[in-house]
Amino acid sequence: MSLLDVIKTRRSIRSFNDEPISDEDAEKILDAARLAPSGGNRQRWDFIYVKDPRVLRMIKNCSPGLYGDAAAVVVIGMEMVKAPFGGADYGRIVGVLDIGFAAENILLAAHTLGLGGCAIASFNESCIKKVIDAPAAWRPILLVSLGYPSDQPKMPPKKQLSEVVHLDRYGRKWERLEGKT
Amino acid sequence: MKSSLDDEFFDLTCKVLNYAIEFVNVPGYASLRLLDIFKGLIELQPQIEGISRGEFYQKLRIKLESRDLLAEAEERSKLLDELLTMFVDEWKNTSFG
Repeated sequence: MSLLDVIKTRRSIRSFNDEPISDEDAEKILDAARLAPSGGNRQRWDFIYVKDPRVLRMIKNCSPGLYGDAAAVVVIGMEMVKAPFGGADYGRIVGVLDIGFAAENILLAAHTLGLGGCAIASFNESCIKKVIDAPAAWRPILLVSLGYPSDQPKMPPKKQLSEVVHLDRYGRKWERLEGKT
Repeated sequence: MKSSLDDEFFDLTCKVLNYAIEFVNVPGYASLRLLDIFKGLIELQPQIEGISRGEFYQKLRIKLESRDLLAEAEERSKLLDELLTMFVDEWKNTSFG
């Protein structure tokens, strides 16, 4: 499957079967996360890979947005520190964006390996921190559930390319995109 | 994954507490109402057969009785965090010894 096919066929998976994820596949997925781009190549993220069912159970208790019995969850977070020099406040906007890039790599790598997952932002930060023994300045930003899909959802409605792409100036249509779905 | 009634009850009460925390800084009564449900569940516990951890739930009841649940959001937030810590400590003690 080409990368574009992987992007086109990936779905947010919220229902999983009981099959465990091999450590080899987990390593590949986490390595894809590690290789994501980051502002200034700072790589300030940490990935806590949770596969112990006892810890998963408690992560689920802290996370209203975590549906289904995932085989694993990646807690992605970072220390919230101010940028050491001018420019964007790395500990906030840029760092959070970087974690978004890493999460997308996780989801695409998982899909390539026949797995599925979903990014989850609905969780109790304080609860997650207590469960994984995170240091005080460290904040979980996103959870990514992982497992083998028990079903394959259809693609949800997506806006047409012409609705979201503007040519040269805001609001100017690109004719070649008109009518394309 | 199969779980016992004991674990189911623990998970349910922990989830309700987390929902109360989620809404604690939101205007309105959602957090307070969820805390009511939480308190109700904790008070029901001695009447439900098959649930152990009696000592833990008794500590929760004592904590809830000793505090003003109608307090300002900041004070309630502190109480909810203390309750959450009790849950995580209980989970760590029973899961990992």
